[in-house]
Order: sequence, then C-alpha cells, then structure tokens
Amino acid sequence: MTNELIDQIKKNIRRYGQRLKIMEVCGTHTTAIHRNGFPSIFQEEIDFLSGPGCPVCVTGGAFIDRLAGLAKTAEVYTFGDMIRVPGNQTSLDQARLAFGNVRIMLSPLDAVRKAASSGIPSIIAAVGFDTTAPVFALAVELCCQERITNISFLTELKTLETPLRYLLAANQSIDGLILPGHVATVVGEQGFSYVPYYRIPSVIMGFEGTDILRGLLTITSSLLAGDYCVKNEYSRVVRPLGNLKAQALVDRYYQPCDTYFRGIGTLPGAGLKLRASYASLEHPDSSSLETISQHDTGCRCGDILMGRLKPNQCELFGAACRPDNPRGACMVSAEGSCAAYFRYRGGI
Amino acid sequence: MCVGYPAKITELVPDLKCAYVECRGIRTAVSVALLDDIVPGDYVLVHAGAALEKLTRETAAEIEAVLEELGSLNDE
Repeated sequence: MTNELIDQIKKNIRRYGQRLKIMEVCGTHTTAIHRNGFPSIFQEEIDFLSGPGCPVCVTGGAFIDRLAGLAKTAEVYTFGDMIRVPGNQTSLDQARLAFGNVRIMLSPLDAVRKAASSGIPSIIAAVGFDTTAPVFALAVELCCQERITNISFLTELKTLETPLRYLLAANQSIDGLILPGHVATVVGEQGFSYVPYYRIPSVIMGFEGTDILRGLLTITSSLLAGDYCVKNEYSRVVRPLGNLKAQALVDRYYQPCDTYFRGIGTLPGAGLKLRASYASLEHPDSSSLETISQHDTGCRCGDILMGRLKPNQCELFGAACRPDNPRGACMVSAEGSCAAYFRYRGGI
Repeated sequence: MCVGYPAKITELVPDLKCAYVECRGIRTAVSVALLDDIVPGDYVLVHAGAALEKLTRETAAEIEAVLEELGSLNDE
C-alpha cells in the first residue's frame, strides 16, 4: 500500500515535470514527515518546508524579555516549551533561575486555579494559535465568573490565516500546502477557504505516514488537474465548519490586533487581544508591540519559516545552534523544523 | 504545546463543565465546555486542558499510536 502510494506520487510529479516545494505549518507534521523518512524517499522530487505555524517558533524575543522581566514581581505561568526560547536579552529559564517564580502550566485553566488559590499577583502567558485561543477564552471566562482579581494575561495569541496569506503571497514558489489537522478542529475546513485564491492545492491531513502519503497524492493529482479546492482528508476529526462553540467563545472575548512574528515582522490583524470589556484582565504590557527585529545573531529562523531556506542552510545549524544549546526558536521546540532536521538527520 | 491527545471520558462533573479523562493510564481533569452532549465512555481530542472534538474509539487509538511513535505524548 505504502509503496504503491509512493510510486503514484512520484509518477504524478514526473508528469508534472518539476521538483515540488510542499509546506506544512504544524510541528507534528514536521516531526511525522521526518520520522517517516519522506525527505529521503522523495529526495529527487519534493522539498519539504516548515511554515510559520509553531507558536513557540514565531513568538518575538521582546515578548520573552517582557515576560521574564515580569517574573521579578509576579508569578509567571507559561507553557513548558517557551522556557528555553531565547529572548533578545534573556529567557524564561534565566528568569526562573534568578527569581524562582516562573511556573510551567499544562493548561491555562490549571494556571487560573493555582494562581487564584495562591492569591499572589500572577501573569499567564497567553501564547498559541487558533487551537489554543479557545482554551485561553475559557480561562478568561473562569476569571470573570469567579471574580478573580490577582491574575492578568500577557496576550500574544495569533491566528494562522494572516501569516499564511502573507507567506503565500510572498513566496509564490510553494506548490502545495499540508494543512494542520488539529488547528482545523477549531476553524474547520471553512477556516482555510482563502487558500484556493492563491492557486495552490491544499489538504487537511492526519499524522500517520499513510495519511501524509495520501495527502501528497491528492496534492500532486490536484496540481495536474489544476484543482485548488481545499480537501479534507482528516474528516474523521475535522468537521466542515469546525468547532462553532470554540469560535464563538474566542469571538466573545477577543478581537483582532496587530502582532509580531519572529523573523517576519508585524502583521496587521494577525493577533488577538482581549475586548475592551475584559481589558482589566489584560496585562498593560501586552500592548507594547515589538518594534525591533530579532537581534542579528546570524539566526535564519525567519527565512526558514517563510520557506526560503532549509534548516541546514543556516550557518549556525548543527554547530553553534543545537537542541542542547539553541540560538533560534526553531531549534528550541521539539517540533520546530530545525530540531526535527537535527534529530532525524543527525545534525547535517 | 499544540499537540492534541486523545482521551476517554471517565466521569463528568457537570456543574463545572469539566470531566475526568484517562489517557495512557493517567487520569486528569479537562474542560468539556467546548463540546455538547458528552457522556462517560466518549473519546475526545484534548488540547491544553480542554476537549476540542469528539473522536471515535478507533480514531482515538490511531492518534494515540501515531503520537506515541513520534514521542509527542511525552511533552504533554
């Protein structure tokens, strides 16, 4: 079955007549593609690229610095994989060592309960894309319902549509898109209705090897047919309209705002901030938009996230920048494209 | 952090819109406020402490197997 799929995909690409650039925007896809050895299997046919869909990878350095600074006077709750992300000046790991009050949360809801029972001034780092935003909305709702006053949110939530549109407009050499399975549970198929406008085939896929191969077959067949409709091949999890309750909750508590993406810059309307009625729960520092770009450390995360470079084309990769000593965000997250390259290709 | 993992609902706490779930023998509480008509025995996709979608038992097993293979469940 697997070999048949591989043969069919290769045959399609030969008929199409050119090497393809296929991008995914989800860390689990990054890992699954490497784990299954697809970059080697399709060495002659496909360049696999990782786009700007990993929240850890796109969070700006100034946000990390701000959060680390706030740990001087408050308890800071964050997802664990943000801890080692380098800021421009410092990291949350350094703040944890210096001040001792950086707490790792598995869920914003747990963080609210812990912070509320401690009574200590607490800040919850609200980082994530469309999948995670509804859970932060639940956390905000919980704070409102229980009239919790010692918690505020430093919000850096992002939506995938704007960076994806920006990327597709800026990098017209991308031939196909692997759409994220779990983000799509919230936004649904309809959440990607803008993709066909860029005349690129796209498929919502699961994470098994055969899911990805079937998706690649669909992308290559669609290229041959000139069919750019979004295909949902993960319909056992993703519904056409997504999770409407989750969408309504995000809309109740959040409104669009400009936000900064590491390596890309500020994108208008690509972020979420709390609506005015809930502004008392937003930490005042949330609004200070990043104005300086990442310090020039030689890190090429931005080019990698835009599909212009592969991780091993960055000069720091494998030498100055490794998973045990990351210089860029894409090497920090276990699901970042540089970390996946390093892990599955032995740092070469 | 984006990883969604499958879990089985073992007990509902209706007033709190919350449920106990089990995944790989680990019991934890998650919010079920984003889903309707959840009953014990249902399988759900959990992300960051909230159930985002209902799953069939077969799909739950499939996702668990693939996440286990990728080592992603250890991060959650």
